Amino acid sequence: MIVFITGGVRSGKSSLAEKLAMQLACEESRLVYAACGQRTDSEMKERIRHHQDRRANSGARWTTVEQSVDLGQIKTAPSDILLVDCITTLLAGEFFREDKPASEADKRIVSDLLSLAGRTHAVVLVSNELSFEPMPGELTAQYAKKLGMVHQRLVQECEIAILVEHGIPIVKKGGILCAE
Amino acid sequence: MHFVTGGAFNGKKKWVTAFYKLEQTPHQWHSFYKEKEAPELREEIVVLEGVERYIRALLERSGTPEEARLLFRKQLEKWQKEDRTVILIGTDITKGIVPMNAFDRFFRDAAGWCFQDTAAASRRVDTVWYGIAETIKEETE
Repeated sequence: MIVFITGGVRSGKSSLAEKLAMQLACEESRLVYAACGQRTDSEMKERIRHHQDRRANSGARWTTVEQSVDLGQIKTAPSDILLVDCITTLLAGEFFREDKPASEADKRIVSDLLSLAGRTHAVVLVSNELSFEPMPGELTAQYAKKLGMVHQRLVQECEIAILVEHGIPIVKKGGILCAE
Repeated sequence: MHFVTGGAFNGKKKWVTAFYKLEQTPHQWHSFYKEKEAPELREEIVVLEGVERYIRALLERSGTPEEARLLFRKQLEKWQKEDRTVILIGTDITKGIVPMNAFDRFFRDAAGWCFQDTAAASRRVDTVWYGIAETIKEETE
């Protein structure tokens, strides 16, 4: 099962994703958190700490895996719930790695995620909304196009797609139980 | 007229192609990304893609968003009078941070106004979010 969640920065999408992951878990499920962001500076460290604190206080046990490329390599069990946070950092990892072509970054991500979805109980994917403004440069446009392609494929494949606006989940596909 | 909008790379073109079964239906496809001028309409179904780029070209010609809007409205009226299905696809560029550069601000202003005019002139308006369309206006006969 695939749940796709997107929204603006600080819109509450990670928090919703964690709640849904906990709802989807059965007794033997492990909650696996795939953190895809790279610790590039102190601001990024602070962001990561904010997310870690919330998971620590969530009342559930999370196994954290740090993986910014080759997500398919994460070891999983069929009962696992895997939360991927987030697709934009994952795409940055795949787009800028030097050993594989950037032109196929989107295909690698989709194929990794579909494979993970096939061998776990559920994957909950978090991403960020694409901007609604003129693209500031060619590289950004290329990256945004790839992100758009990944989002379109994931929305097509998923059972549930949610856009979070200011903490309010707007269900675009499928349905969810009350998130509270 | 049918106006299809949404953010960049959200699958608007793909949705229009599927919705109007364009792979099996004769149609005219005009892209403002390739050609700045408005075309002569020939087919029963005409798709005009990249409307925001056309607005940008009008702005380059006229200099102010107000003038660009007037030019756009004239063109819109012509399209509206056509006895064919005219589909306009426009990428929504109106929701970002206010740009530093004055021309870019004008471009967004012009796009915002012209999209309002397009929506008002269209019988149907859809926004596309990663391939899922939401109909936000639909006039019945």
